[in-house]
Amino acid sequence: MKIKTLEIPIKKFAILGVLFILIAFFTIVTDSFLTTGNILNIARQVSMLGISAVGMTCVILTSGIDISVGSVMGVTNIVGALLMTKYGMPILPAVLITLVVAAAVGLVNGIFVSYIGVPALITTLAMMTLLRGVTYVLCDGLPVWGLPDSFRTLGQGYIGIIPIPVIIMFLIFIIGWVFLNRTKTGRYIYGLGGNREAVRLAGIRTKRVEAGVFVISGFLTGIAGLIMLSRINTGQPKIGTAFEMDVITAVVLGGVSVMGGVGSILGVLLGVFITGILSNGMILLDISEYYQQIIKGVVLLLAVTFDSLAKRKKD
Amino acid sequence: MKNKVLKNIVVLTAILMLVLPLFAAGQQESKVAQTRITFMVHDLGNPFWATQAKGAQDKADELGVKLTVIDLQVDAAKEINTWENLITTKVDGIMISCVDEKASQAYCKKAQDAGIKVMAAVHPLPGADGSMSNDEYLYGFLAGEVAGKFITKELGGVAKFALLAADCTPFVIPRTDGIRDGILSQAPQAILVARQDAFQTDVGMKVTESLLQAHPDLAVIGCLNDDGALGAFEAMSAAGKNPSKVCITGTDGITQALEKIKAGTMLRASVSMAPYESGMKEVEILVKMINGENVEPHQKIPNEAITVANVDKYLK
Repeated sequence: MKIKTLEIPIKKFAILGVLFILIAFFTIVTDSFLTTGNILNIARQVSMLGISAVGMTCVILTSGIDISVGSVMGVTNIVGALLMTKYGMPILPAVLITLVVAAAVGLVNGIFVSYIGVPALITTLAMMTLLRGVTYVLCDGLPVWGLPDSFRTLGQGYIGIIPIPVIIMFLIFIIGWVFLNRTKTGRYIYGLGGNREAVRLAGIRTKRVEAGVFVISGFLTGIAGLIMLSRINTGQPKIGTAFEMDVITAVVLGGVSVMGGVGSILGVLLGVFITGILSNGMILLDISEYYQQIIKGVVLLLAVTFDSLAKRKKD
Repeated sequence: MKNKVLKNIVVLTAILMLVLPLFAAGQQESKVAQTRITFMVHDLGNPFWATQAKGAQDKADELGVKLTVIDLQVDAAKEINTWENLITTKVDGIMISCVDEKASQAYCKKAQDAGIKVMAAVHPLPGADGSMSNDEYLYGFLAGEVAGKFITKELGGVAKFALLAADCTPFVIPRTDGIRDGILSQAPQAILVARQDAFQTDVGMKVTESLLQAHPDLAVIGCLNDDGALGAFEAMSAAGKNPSKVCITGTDGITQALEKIKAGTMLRASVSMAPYESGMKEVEILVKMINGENVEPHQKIPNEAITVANVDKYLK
């Protein structure tokens, strides 16, 4: 345990460095980057990614992976939209049912991974494909619109000058931090990725924890899906395609080890912002899509390299 | 232990045998010598293609032809696999909206050698027996013209405009060029400030939000399709823009966009490619070719700009 707490500041330092370089660069080359409006804009744009990344962090810390989050976002988008339009349900019950659906998907993932023993990659890969199909079936492949106007508040509203999705994201990060660092279950999650046998021998019901992280991932992605629904004001069956890659990228950028057991929720928050700042800054500079992809790949590679070097020096 | 495994296998097989017919039950029993055609659709997640597939299905039902729809999911690898499968199973006809026309060209030839008629649906496929094709440049130009006229009439001829494109798909680059030229043909002093890929609603919204940070006075957005335009619309609305000073245009004429056009919002124009009718027409041409009937194999899709003036015609 002690070694872990020593590693974290160094990792954070590397990621923080990348973040500052990016901020400095975009501030110098554009005059619209470092403005309150744009910072809030970036925060709002990454909020869905951030919320889902908290769940993904829990999964990856146990050395699992959840690549079904993109499809969970798609299915919650459509389920939420259908409940509010076709079935005329008021907002609150529709939101609750949608979140239950999202958590239930996570539970199914968790049961397969933990109790049946199917590898997480395979389980969630199957779930990803399956759910996307279900989403298309539910809405015949067509967008669902006509949502109640007040539902826009969730994704488009403000409290003071802070966008509501940003507030939700920070709340979830705070809860996530407390959960992972100050609760027993949080310790077990780290332990599962670090030394599974030790945790099991300590009498912890590892299976329950292992399944639980998938429920968290599904549930949080459900929240992200509802925010997306409210933002674009339409249920789109294709929403969330390749979203899992963005989430995993942000988590890995944030210094969470894909082997499990190592990583901090604060690092993930930085990783999320790096992703958002990159994509926003390149749009401000009107860089073409082709180069955007190259640059994103290079930054990911650089950040992870820094990280590995810093860790090696420590060892 | 072994017995248990065996028992499980038997139970599983039994369940499968019980359940599988349920899936098959819904499908029509195939008559002997019924004409079988397959529609390889570019991307069923896109309402334009979903509508076109529905038109094709309805026409096929009407003609008593068995149509199978396959979603290529914009995946060239899946496209090639599907070609191979279809050539092996010897369908009578293939309709395809190509993901990768170069890859498909070789398979088109093979299919034809195997006696299969090939129909290019909207996306071009050189060498195909028949086609419904769209003039991408004109398609964009018609939308651009509406935006250009708006700039001249409502914004005094000078305005900043942005293009939401899909330059990662080379085939539709001319459409965005057409939008640009259409705008400049009516408003030569308009200033292009950005051209970014954004052809999905969420991306359209995100990109527009960022563009507004760089160019707060952005007034006109010409979008490659209605999905992107709807995202631009949400971003402009959320930014509290004066609706009478903003013009967003899309293409494809999807219902949700048409309702916004009808309501007189800042989403002011789309262009019709008549997806449902095109789907029907494609099946009709293909079946006639298979039956050896006389038909003009290569036809153009009729395009028309949709604005508040004529939107009712398209809103069914």
